[in-house]
Amino acid sequence: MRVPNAGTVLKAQGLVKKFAQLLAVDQVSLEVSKGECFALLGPNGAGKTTTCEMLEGLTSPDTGDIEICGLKFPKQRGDILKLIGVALQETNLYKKYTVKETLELFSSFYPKTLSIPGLVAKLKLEDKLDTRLEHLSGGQKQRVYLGCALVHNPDLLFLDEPTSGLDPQARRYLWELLREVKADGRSIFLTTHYMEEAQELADRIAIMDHGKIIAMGTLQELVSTHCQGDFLEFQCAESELESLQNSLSWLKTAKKLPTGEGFEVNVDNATTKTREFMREVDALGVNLGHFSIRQSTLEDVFLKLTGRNIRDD
Amino acid sequence: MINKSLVEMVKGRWREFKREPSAMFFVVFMPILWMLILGLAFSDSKQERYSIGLKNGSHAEESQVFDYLAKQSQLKVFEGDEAELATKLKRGEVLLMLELDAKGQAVMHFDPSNPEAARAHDASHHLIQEYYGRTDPRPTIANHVKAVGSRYIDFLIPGLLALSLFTSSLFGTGMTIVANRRENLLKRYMATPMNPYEYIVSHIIGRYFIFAVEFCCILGAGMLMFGFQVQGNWLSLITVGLLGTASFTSLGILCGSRTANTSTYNGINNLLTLPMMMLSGVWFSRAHFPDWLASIVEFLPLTACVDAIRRVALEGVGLASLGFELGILAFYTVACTVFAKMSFKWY
Ligand SMILES: Nc1ncnc2c1ncn2[C@@H]1O[C@H](COP(=O)(O)OP(=O)(O)OP(=O)(O)O)[C@@H](O)[C@H]1O
Ligand SMILES: [Mg+2]
Repeated sequence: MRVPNAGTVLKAQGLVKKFAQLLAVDQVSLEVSKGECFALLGPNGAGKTTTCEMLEGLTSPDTGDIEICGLKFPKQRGDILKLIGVALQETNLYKKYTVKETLELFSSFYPKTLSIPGLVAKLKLEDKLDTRLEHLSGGQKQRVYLGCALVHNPDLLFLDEPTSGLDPQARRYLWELLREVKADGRSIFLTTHYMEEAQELADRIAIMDHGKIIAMGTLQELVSTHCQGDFLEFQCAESELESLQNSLSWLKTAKKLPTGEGFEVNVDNATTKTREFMREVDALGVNLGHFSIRQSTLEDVFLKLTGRNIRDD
Repeated sequence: MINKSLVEMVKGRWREFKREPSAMFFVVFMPILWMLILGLAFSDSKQERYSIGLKNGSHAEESQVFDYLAKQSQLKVFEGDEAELATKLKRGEVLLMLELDAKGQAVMHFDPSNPEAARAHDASHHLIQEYYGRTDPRPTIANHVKAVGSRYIDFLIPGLLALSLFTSSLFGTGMTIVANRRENLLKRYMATPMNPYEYIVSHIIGRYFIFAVEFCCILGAGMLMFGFQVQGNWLSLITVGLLGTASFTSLGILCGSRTANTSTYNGINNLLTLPMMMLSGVWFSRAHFPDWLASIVEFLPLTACVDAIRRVALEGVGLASLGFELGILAFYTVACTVFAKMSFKWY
């Protein structure tokens, strides 16, 4: 058994949770170290919220061990709750309270808290201090929820899909805030079903599907382990692709793009392969509509591992 | 030491009440509206006036008798044939139908189980005897007293106060808890070190502030508009009110202890409120209930509260002689709290 290093704030081992017949979480083990942002990425129903709530002490696992900053549920629950900040996936705080009243309520629960003006400045909500929650936009509300999780300056922050339902602009804004939170030295445990969010924020990512973690590592590690190289994307007629494939065997793995417009192929050495490809295109006189090279993304990793797109139901 | 999270949550309870216009309406304006409507409807302490039907027949004395009856201030008469009056009787427009039969005897058709019709019969009977020259062997004297505290409105105001405490505590508390549960707020609280009992206690203490508003508004309105007077000790009255509020609030917490569905809660709420509202003697005395019903109704919390408030306010009774009522209220407070604690679901 590996001894957790001094910098480990969260350590979970062999978590299992069953709801009647459904195995919602199946043997999940993970670790988050100090100052790290860890993202649990998975499609709807993967078991992210269930995992998150077990780690927060809201649901007890059927089996498995959880340790937060060296403390354990349920014995040291009270102490753990002072160290963690939580934003649940679906919460509605009192809509008749103002931002200030909401933050004051939550800071009253903790022995030591940040000053509210300072927190509000960090959340960029200064001008909304006396606005009721019912009059805030979705993005602003989400920032208040984040504020409630931050009032006591926790060591570890749990955020369950913090940006779901937000428009791209509000999402980027929240990411900016979370980067600052991380820069303050706090650890973050984040769940999301947005690849981009995991890519933008996380130091390490775990991909979850059907209750299991199917891959875990840094973005680089995931891509290099499961989906090495780059992708060539190009547009030509199907018959032309066939003649290209006759001379370039590596083109045999080319797949139609989900949009239907053109093809893509995973290659290990993009520069050489591009040169070869272009030579053949010239030689055969292929009418090439479009050509580009892109790096592998989490999306490709997920597709490779599960055979599905993350947003497919 | 007073806990700052409890203070903050009690402040929150008050804020929720203050900022919810419908809560204010139900708590303050509804009872005053009832008071106005019923108070004005029954404030005429004039003699009761009965509508009766006089059936046209063929007896010789009929027109004189009918004329005599028509002149009486106690009666409002309608003359007509049998079919016409039968319809009016059915519709409740007349209480009874009177005819003189062939022998000149007055025959009255009415429903004896309707107390007003029975009184109309008595009044008509007396008037007919009078017309034919009856003198009372031993006349009696009716001395009309108008004691403050014995009008219908005096009976009604304590009832409305208790009812308002009951409905607002039961609905307000339970509904807030159910809505908080549905919105995952209770779950969110469980992820903080806040002691869950503080959340529950905040509801009870918060209710006391709302109680203060109801108490002042309803009694104040009664005093200003109808000259209502409290005979007993104000402190006793407040004590009864506080204990009543505590028992209704814990009943609300119990009813809202499991469900996350506001319609379900509405159903539970109505199931409790409607019968108690009718049976607990808010609007009229329970004296007319059959014994078996009266003895059950006695044990309802709203009955205990209505009775205790009435006895302090109208009869000037002290707390010492309200042992039964206060005991019932205390019992509900404790029992509901214990059951609520056992069955409470945070998420
Ligand atoms: N209390 C419960 N009772 C029964 N089944 C449950 C319960 N909670 C979750 N599940 C089931 O467990 C599975 C995992 O749910 P979970 O909420 O953890 O998914 P998720 O990854 O958070 O999904 P989403 O992206 O939609 O939030 C789902 O199939 C869900 O239906
Ligand atoms: Mg979820």
